[in-house]
Amino acid sequence: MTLIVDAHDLALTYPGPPIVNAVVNAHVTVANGEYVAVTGRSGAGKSSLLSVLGGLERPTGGKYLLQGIDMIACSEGDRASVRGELIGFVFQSFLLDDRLSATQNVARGLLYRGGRGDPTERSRAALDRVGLLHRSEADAGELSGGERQRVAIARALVHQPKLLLADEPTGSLDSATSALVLDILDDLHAAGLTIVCVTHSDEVARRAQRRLVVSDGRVEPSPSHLT
Amino acid sequence: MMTGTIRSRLRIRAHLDDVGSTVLSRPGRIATVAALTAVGIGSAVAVLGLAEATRVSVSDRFAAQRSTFVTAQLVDTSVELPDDAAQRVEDINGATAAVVLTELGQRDVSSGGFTSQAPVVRFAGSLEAALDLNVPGQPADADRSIVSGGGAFVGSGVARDLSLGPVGLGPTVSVDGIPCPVLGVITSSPEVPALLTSVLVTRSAEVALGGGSTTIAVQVDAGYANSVARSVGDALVPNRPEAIEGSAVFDTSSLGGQVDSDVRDLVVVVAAVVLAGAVLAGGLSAYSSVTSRRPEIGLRRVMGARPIHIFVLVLSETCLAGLLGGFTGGWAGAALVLSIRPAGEPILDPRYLVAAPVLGLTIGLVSGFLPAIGATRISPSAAFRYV
Repeated sequence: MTLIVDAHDLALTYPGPPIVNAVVNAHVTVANGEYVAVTGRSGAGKSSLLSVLGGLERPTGGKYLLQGIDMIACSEGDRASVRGELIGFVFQSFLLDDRLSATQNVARGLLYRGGRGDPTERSRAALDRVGLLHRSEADAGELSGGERQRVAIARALVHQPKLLLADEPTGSLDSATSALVLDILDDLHAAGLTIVCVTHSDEVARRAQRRLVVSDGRVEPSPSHLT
Repeated sequence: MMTGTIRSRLRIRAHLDDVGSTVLSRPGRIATVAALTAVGIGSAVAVLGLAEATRVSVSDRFAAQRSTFVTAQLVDTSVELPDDAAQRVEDINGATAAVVLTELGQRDVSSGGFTSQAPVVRFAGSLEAALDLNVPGQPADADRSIVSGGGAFVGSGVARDLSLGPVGLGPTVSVDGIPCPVLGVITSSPEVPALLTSVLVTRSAEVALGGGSTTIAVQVDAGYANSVARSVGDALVPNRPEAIEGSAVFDTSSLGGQVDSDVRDLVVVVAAVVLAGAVLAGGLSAYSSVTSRRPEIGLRRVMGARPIHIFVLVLSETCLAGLLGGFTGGWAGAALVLSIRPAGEPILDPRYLVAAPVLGLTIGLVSGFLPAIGATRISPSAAFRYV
């Protein structure tokens, strides 16, 4: 099985003061097409781990290959390029521009990726994939919470990433809307997308094939079988 | 580098669309920078325009006070001046010396076998005193006592062409074959330099008249130039004073010029301070805008924006704001100047209106530079910290 994430002895230390060891000797491997949940208490280091895996922060130690690319050796600009090409991000707070339409928000996901097709058409196709084509011209500010998160997912998908990283994707949603969003993630996974999802919720974690538990920056050994 | 085939790209069209949609979705974001730039440039244009008007006014007043030379032109050739025209002008309050000059055109002039062509001017009145001529060897009142018998003053250029001998040897110059004793050689003519290459004959000389223009030159006491200029017509042609147009000749090279220079320096300093204030205020506003946009900028970084992309984005926005502010401020400043000054006076250099948007663009560039640098340092993790 091909690994898309292959990280060993990963460390992320903020120099402070005070010095904070956000990620400590973490071993994380994620195979292509896998759906992995990252759980743990608040402040355990889940989001820091996600930042490192997503190339948002450069690890201060260890080895990390993303799709074979040495992310520690990459420059800041190269990591930006890798993020833009290989990874899609979904945030708890959606991070949409309320005054732009759903299509315009999704199209921003293509802004730094150059050509390959009409951005508007590709954005509409991504919205269709999350069942929101009928709301494509609505301003993001007019959408419900669930719709906003689906627009954010469409934005994360529009460039056809290899890996989807989601940080508490249902954290701001009610249970019914959360189920809808999780169904979309299930569908994406079923279509072959690799997903790593940070969550507090057992319900969300149960949707994943495998669970990593983070505690004080350490990642507990992950079972290779389904939980 | 293993990422050789992966590289973030930002097409110019996509960038412009992005800047446009960002600005249009939140116009208030650049409005502050644009407004500050408009205020700065508007103030600068207004200061420059008003100062220019003030400078011209001050300069005119100084020149009028300093001027001691007046010329009056006979604009209606059907009018004949009285024989005592020079004397009548000298009788005007403030006038000290006057001479009437009538151009006779180019004539053949010769002396001692040398021949040349030179402009010939007939004069009547106090030639040397009225024109402040330097005629070496002549007593101060020579023009009146000697010229009554007929004769000519020769400009130094003509004297050289004719190889004229010393005046003390009594040389003669012929104009169209009419011999005229040389009364003197003019070596300096500060008011009318063209006289150095001319021959001036007395009214009694038997030189044929031509249809040339007539000018009255007057020396006046300081402060009387404008009043004398206005009075010449009344003094010479009381029934048709408009036949003569008088004007004071300004000397802008002395005190007035210094005042001009001082005013200009002061205005440049004031305008520079105003513009520097606009740059500073615009920079602070842009910095504040960048700070409030940390999550958005973080998200852009997450989505693949390289630091240079963020730098260009912020700078594009401040440049756009500067351009708008410069355009608006330029016209606002011009409107202010024109509304304050009386109509009809050309007091505002139109180049200011062209320069204003360019200056605004420059202000946007300068004021946005440091905030843009700061924006590139916003970590993509900033997107995670926004809830």
